[in-house]
Amino acid sequence: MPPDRSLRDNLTRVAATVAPDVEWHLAATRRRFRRRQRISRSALAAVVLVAIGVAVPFALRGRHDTSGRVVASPLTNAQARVLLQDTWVTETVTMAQVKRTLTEAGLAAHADVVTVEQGYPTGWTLRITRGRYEVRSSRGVQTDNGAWTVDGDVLTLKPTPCTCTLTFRWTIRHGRLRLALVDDASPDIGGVPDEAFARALFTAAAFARAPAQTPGPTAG
Amino acid sequence: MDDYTSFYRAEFTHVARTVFLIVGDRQRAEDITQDAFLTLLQHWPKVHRYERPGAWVRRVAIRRAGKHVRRERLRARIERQSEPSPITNDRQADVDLLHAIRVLPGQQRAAVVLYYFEDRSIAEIVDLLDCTESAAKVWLHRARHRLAELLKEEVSEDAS
Repeated sequence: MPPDRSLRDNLTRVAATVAPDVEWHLAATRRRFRRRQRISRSALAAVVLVAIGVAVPFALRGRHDTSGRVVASPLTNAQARVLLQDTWVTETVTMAQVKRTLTEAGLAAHADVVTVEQGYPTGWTLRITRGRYEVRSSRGVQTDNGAWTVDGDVLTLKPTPCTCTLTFRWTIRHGRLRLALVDDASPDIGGVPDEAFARALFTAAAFARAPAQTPGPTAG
Repeated sequence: MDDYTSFYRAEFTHVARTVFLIVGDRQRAEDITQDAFLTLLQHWPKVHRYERPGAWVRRVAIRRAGKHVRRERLRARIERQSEPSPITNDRQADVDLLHAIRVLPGQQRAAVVLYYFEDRSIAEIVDLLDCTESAAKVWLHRARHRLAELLKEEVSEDAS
C-alpha cells in the first residue's frame, strides 16, 4: 500500500473512533444559545438602565433644547444664551398659585401683600434679549427689568436700578422655561422679603415661548 | 431553524473527527466542535444562505483547534514538559499515528488532516486555513516528511 494511501486509511480509522452523541451536543448547543440570548438581553437592559441613570440627572439639571429632546452634551454659555433669548409668556397666574408657591417657600405670611402689589390674577411676559430682560404684566405694566447673564444652568438677573442679584436654575423642556430660585440678595421691600416677589413673579408658573416675536428692550 | 438541526446532524461528527485529529483529544475535540456550532447558530440567519455553510463552521472549528494546540504547547513549555501527555487508545499503531501528528506544528497538523482525512484540495485548504497556496503546500510537504520519519514510512510527492 502506498504510504499516502496508508496515511489516509490510518487517519480515517483513528478518526472513526470519535463517535459523539450528536443529539446530546445539539441539545447542549441550543441550551447555551438560549442562555447567551438571555445574557445579551440582560446586558442590553443594563446598558439602557445605565444610560437612563446618566441621562435623567442630566435632564433634571435642565440641559434640554426647545423640543424637549435631551441635549447629549452640556451646553456652552453661548448655546444657553441662544436658547434663553426669546419672549416668554405665562398663562394667567392665579392668586391661589401665588399663595401655594409662597407657602411652599415658607413665605405664606407675605402672600396677600405680593398678590396685591403684583396685581394677580395676571399673566406675565418675560422678554430676554442680548444682555437685557424685562417683565410686563398682561395689562402692559413693566414690573421688572435689568441685565442678565447665564453660566451653564444658572441664570442671574440684575434688576435696575438695584445693585442686587437674583439667581435661578433654569430648565427648558418642551418649549417651556421654568425657573427655580437659588438665591435672592435683594433688600426687603416695605418689610416684605424680595424673595417673595421674585418667587411669585418668576417661579409660580412656567413660561412658554410666545407665538409671535415682539420688540424687546434695547441692549446696553 | 430546522435547517440548522439537519445541518448539525449531518456535519457534527465529521467536524468533530477532523478536530480530533488536530488536537488529539476526543473530549476536547467535541467541546471545540460544539463551540463552533454554537457560533454557527448565532450567525445562522446569515451563514445558511452561503453556498457552503460547512466550510464556514469547519473554518471556525479548525481555528479554535489551532488556538488550542498553541495554548497546549505553551502550557507544556511553561510546565517544562518535553513529552506530550499520553494518548489512550486501544491500538498501538493509532497511538503512534496520533503521537506523530501531535509532534507537528498546528498549521501542519491542520493541513495534513484536511488533505489526507477530509480529502480537501489545496485550494480548499487555502480557503479553510486562510493562507497562501505556497504556504499550504510547504506545510503539507513538511508534515508528510515529518510523519514518514516518525512512523518510519516512505512518502510520495503527489500533493506538491
